[in-house]
Amino acid sequence: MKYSNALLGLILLILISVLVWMDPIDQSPLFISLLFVGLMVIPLLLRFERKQLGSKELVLLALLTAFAAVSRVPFAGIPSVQPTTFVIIVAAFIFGAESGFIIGAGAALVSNIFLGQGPWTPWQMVSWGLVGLSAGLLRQPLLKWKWIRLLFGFIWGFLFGWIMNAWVFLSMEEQTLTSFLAVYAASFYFDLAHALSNVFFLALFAKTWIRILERFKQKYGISNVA
Amino acid sequence: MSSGFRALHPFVIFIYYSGAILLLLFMFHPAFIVVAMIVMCAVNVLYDGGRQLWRWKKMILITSLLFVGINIFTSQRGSHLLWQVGDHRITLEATLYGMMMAGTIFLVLALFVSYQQVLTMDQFFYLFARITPQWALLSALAIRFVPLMKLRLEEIQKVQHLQHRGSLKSWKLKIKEKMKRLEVLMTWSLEGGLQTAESMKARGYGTVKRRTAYTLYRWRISDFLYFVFLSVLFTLCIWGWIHGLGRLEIYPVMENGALSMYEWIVLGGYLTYLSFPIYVEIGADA
Repeated sequence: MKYSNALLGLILLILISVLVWMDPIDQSPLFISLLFVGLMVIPLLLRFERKQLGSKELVLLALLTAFAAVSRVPFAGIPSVQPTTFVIIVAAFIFGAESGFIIGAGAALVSNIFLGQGPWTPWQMVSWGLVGLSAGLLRQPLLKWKWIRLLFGFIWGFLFGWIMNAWVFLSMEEQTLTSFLAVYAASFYFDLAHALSNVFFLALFAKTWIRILERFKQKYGISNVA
Repeated sequence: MSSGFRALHPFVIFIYYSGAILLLLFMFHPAFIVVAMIVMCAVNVLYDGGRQLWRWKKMILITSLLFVGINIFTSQRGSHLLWQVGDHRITLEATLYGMMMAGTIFLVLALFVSYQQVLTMDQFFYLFARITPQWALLSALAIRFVPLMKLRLEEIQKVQHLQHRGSLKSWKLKIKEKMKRLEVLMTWSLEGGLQTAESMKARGYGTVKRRTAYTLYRWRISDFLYFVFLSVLFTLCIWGWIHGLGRLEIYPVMENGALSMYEWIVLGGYLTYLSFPIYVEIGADA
């Protein structure tokens, strides 16, 4: 395991030094934003790699990742309305923070293989990964209450859009307050739709889905991944 | 047996794509972007006649319009005035910047479309199963599950249509039906998948520390030469980029777009690097 520690350190060192070296962001804004996201994602991915998972846990994560990605399909016609965020929250609620992060980040990566890979992919990985991570961290006392769960879904609807706006903003030529406000105002309705659909899904379906996943966890004796 | 670019060692193919994405993100000059767009379209045409890429036309159009639009409306900087609406100035600089950004995003998308056609799952697995075995297996499984789940979704939908004959009226019932479809899909897939996992375990998953890949790829002399060739071109482009070549300074004063002699050389290297699959493919046919 020494080897992977060294690798992790090396990768982080390279990323940070590249960031320091190219201080003016306008040299290549898209590249900088990719690096920045890499800094956030890579440590968590390597942490996952170091865990020796059993076959059941691994397959379960793969299934839920694919499922979160596919759940966009029936709702394809409506922009910003997709149950992916809901699926990630529910899965993290049952299987924990680290599983939540992996399912979220993986769902972004996998669904974009079919929906178009681009500079937005890493940002989506971070956003959805954080949805899962936070849902897993807050699950114990807080998310047990239905109202807090709904509020959580509502907040993440906006937060998701705000994180995604960051890369649009970074790739613009002028980073001023007006352009910042313009980007965030333009996305308001999409974020609102996302937030409301999260609340809607959580209010109506969370209970059943949590029961189903809980049952699977029990039936197959799946240990907490993290 | 495939030949040409796809028959090269997976590592060379992977290096080509990683280098290409860096170059596409770095080079920010209209001439470079236009050249790259032609080459990337050609690379896509080479493999499936550009059919996959054509599927993205709507999304590319919307993203491009969004980028150009936002830039024009938020930025008034620049000295080359194109149009004046009220007291809002539409400048050449802002328009150009938006178009270049839209072009770069198109390039990244096109590169990934071609990547997905060229690098097979076997090759991906061969490359990553040694460094990050769990991630490699996880992503291989997840990617494989997606088409399976889509098929199942259609099957469930057919059954649902039989149950209520015809379409549902209210939107609430529609959403409920869709969520029911997903719920059925989830229980179905989890049940099957977890049983497969148990049988995986029974057949010895996790007992061996390191496993070899299913397909064997030979590292040939030609692969080494290709690797060196790509590295030299990449270094040339990065050297140029560090010296400010292949980047158009727009602000504060737009520099002359004409290419200097050195810039032509870097452009040549860039063109040669990106069109690597094309001449490897042509060379294999000849």
